[in-house]
Amino acid sequence: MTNIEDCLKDILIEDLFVEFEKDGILPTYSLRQDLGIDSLGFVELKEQVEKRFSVVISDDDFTPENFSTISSLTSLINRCAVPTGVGSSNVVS
Amino acid sequence: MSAAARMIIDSTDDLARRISDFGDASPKYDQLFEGYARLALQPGSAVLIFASNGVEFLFHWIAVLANGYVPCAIAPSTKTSLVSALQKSLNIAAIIGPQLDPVRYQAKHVARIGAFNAAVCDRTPPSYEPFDVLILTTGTSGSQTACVHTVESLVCNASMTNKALSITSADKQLVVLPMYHSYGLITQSIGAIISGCELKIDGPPFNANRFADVIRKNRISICGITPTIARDLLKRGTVLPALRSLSIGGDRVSPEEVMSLLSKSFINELYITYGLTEAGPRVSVLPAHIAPVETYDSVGMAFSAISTRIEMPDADGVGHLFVKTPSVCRRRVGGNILRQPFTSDGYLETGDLFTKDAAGYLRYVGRKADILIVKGEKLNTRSIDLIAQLHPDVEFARTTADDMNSLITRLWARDDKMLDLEEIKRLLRSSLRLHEVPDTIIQERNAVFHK
Repeated sequence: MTNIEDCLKDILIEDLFVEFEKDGILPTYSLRQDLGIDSLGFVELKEQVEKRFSVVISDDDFTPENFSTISSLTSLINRCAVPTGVGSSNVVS
Repeated sequence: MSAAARMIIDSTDDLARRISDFGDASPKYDQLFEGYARLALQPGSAVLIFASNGVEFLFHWIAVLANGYVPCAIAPSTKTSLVSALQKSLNIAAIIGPQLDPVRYQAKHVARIGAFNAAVCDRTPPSYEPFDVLILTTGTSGSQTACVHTVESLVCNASMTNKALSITSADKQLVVLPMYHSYGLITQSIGAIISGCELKIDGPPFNANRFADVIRKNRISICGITPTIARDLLKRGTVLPALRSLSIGGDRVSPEEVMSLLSKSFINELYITYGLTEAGPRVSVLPAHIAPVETYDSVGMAFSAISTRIEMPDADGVGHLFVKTPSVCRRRVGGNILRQPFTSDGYLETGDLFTKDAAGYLRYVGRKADILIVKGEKLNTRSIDLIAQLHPDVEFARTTADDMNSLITRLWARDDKMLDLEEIKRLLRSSLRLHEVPDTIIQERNAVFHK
């Protein structure tokens, strides 16, 4: 598991109060269907991701596909990360 | 079984051909039906369906109904504490959902139905009848209450709405609103079942550009959105592909916003609707594209089968709106409901303040004090106060919204204790949905405590 995935699980549990044990959240779980994230939950998740990873997620990237699973969101964060590594180098394994 | 229930249940073969979402797999309805039959619940047992938008949700909802159980859809983000409270207050027999942990609900029997887990919690005598439907009224009546509808009343309301919006089998409808709320479930999904139109189901997160893309790629002709989404589209200047009709319901739309929407060439017909869960839900509609400009501040006129009256109007004609509709719920259940909102002559008390002009146009003025719209979602401040008051040090809580529409909860402590506000915020966040969590929590001195 990457540190990004680990950090995303923390966000889901600590900020969105998803009622799962950390080890019980699989990277392939659907954020919407399996973890029950709703529309406002996705807005909160986007804000927390931007804050914790120092990335900017554009409106065009705020899609059900990119926010489908922890794996897809990890890929998005990696794509959005600033090349110099500002803010994200300490979390990417 | 009524003709309405038969029509919904028999629609599944045809529905499978004209309904789709963005998921990978389509559930097999027959397997779902058999899965529920194997639960062997008593007829009329309530089943809480914990799922987000999708074909699978709708097929589970119909399979529950077809087995003589009573479906009750709930937001998948609902916390265990509220679900446990609902179990008791609504006499829920089973809870189903993807990744549902049966241990949380003291399940006596566990099964797998389609992609969902089913937890059978209680086999006590059910409180409902086969082909009843429970619709939660989280916003309007407190968190632990629901309306008991019959399938007939829901089909009746969806049919009235289809007629008012001229929806036919030639249409392609897009659902982006939550299907666990009455608009997405009844007005759009059941409406699509009975009209024969195609139904495309999408879910969050909402993205204006993607919304336009989905409409274009799927040749969508009709769609319903909230005022919040409409404002977002206007603010962004989003250009949508041409829609035959766009309907808006759930909160107030200003005349200026109606005019701005009408100025968009891609909206051919614009409908502003008003409704409430107890009424099934839609009551009135303003076909803004053909309505006089002086009615843009209204929610139009009631459907032809619905009667309305304003009770105890003040000097300005503002009074309590009562409606008499063939789609009214049978009763409200749960929580601390002390009386049913019906008059002896069959009218429903809406709890909303309106005026009604000589032509019959209804103009919304306000809601009962406990009801707020925050971040586009309806909420009941009383529900927030009740959760805060679960903390052993809190004597009393009162939640209000400020001018910026942010929530403030004021707390009064027992025995003048100093409250741990961080701990109370954690309690609120663990029990409430995100839009219900107050932005600010303040401890007040007991000297200013007024219940």
